[in-house]
Amino acid sequence: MKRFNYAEPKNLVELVALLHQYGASASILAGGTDLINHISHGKRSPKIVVSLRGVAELSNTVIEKSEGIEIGVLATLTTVAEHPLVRQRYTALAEAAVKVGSKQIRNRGTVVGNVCNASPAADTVTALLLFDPVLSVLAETGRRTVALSDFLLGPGQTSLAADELVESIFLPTPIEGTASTYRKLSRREGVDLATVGVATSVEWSGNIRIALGAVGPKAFRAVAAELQLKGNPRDMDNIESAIRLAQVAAEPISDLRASNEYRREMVGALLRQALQQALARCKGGECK
Amino acid sequence: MMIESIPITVEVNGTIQRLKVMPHHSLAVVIREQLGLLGTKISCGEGECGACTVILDGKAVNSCMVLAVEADGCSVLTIEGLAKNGELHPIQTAFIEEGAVQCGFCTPGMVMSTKALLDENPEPEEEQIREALAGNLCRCTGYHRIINAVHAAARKSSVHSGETK
Ligand SMILES: Cc1cc2nc3c(=O)[nH]c(=O)nc-3n(C[C@H](O)[C@H](O)[C@H](O)COP(=O)(O)OP(=O)(O)OC[C@H]3O[C@@H](n4cnc5c(N)ncnc54)[C@H](O)[C@@H]3O)c2cc1C
Ligand code: FES
Ligand code: FES
Repeated sequence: MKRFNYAEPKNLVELVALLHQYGASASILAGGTDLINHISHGKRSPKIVVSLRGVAELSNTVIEKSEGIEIGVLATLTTVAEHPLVRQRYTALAEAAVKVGSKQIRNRGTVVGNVCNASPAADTVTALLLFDPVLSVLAETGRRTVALSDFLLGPGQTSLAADELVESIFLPTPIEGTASTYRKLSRREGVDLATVGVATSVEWSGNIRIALGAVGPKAFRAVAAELQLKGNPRDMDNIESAIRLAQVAAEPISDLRASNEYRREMVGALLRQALQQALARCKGGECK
Repeated sequence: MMIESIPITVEVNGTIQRLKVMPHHSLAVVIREQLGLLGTKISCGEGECGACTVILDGKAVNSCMVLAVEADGCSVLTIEGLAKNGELHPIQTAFIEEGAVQCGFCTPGMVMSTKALLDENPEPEEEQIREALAGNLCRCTGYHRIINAVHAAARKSSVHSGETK
């Protein structure tokens, strides 16, 4: 692996000062499950790797707030997948987190790292999009908040400036009784990126949300399909119309995982399953 | 910019080690090359195969994906830390008895993933075993005997804890 220096700032003041000083020649290290590969493959060649692990103010848990939850920057995929409140209220996120890589990867990798890496196939990103996530971004000059959909620009691209870091992700509490699920298609069970990822949530009132991953430059909400289902999500013909709208919205590429035609077909198959599952969980308003 | 080694203190298999490590060296490299513990294997070097699995502060991790400096202040358990007083750990015995070892290259990683699983969940279901070992690849056995070994190890451990009670 190419050589680099390493710093472990003890607090936020030291951290943002380092990021300001080194700018684009610094890389932030969370769990390292993406960064270390990027460095050893020569995709990144930082002069200095700045670890978040010693920063006193940064959290490694999910914090319950009055109006939602805050996912700490160092919360691992394991922590988030196992968190009772995440499993109950943000089920799709827990299901997506547990589908990332292997146990070993999930014990190190973080949800925030999954987001910042900005892979179009990032499992937790697709699921997060159901829940109106807002990122808190910090730099020496101050804090800003940004919606996840604006934060993601394209493959590997985010709206982060070189001296900024993501501090946490806030998810407002979904409407009481919202049920959700995440479906992932990959070439083998476990330890593979999604060929297609579909997240769906259902509110008791019949409002549906649909997010698609790995079928465009970034994960996105299939808004036309959502509108088609609004108020009438259980009608079979209507579901098929919505699936066609989601397939039109998908702009998959062909790569070694799958052809674009196959991906578009699978958007349909996964969305059908996801809707069935979320609706079943939401039966009679008794969402789990 | 000069790149210098960084002093770390890490507990490895119960012994405190004070080491100077290069920032770009993985924990796997330091375990093998600086500590001479060659049970931990490096195969893919990119988090895919699990041959380098060790237990870091109670959790199974790929030591090829962890920088050695990040282990400062942590405790690491490698395959060499399992046997006690020349007696194999019940998981190791189970792997041998069930014929779960062929070339053996994946075995230390498999055993460490099994240890982390059984520490957390002493009586895992088959599905939970498969999930815990999904990040450990084996080119030889076809996995059946490995899964059997984990079941057998879980039975042995429950007998053991029964004896000591
Ligand atoms: C074998 C293997 C299998 C995998 N399988 C999957 C999979 O199935 N699904 C999937 O989605 N991903 C998968 N991944 C990718 C990876 O594990 C996830 O993206 C993980 O969540 C990344 O988190 P991390 O904490 O390890 O990030 P890191 O590697 O530490 O960081 C990732 C990137 O984000 C930047 N960054 C991290 N934290 C911050 C921050 N707070 N502010 C600003 N920038 C930051 C880093 O500089 C880096 O560029 C896999 C990786 C491996 C090696
Ligand atoms: S060598 Fe570390 S996972 Fe393969
Ligand atoms: S026994 Fe040879 S790789 Fe598993």
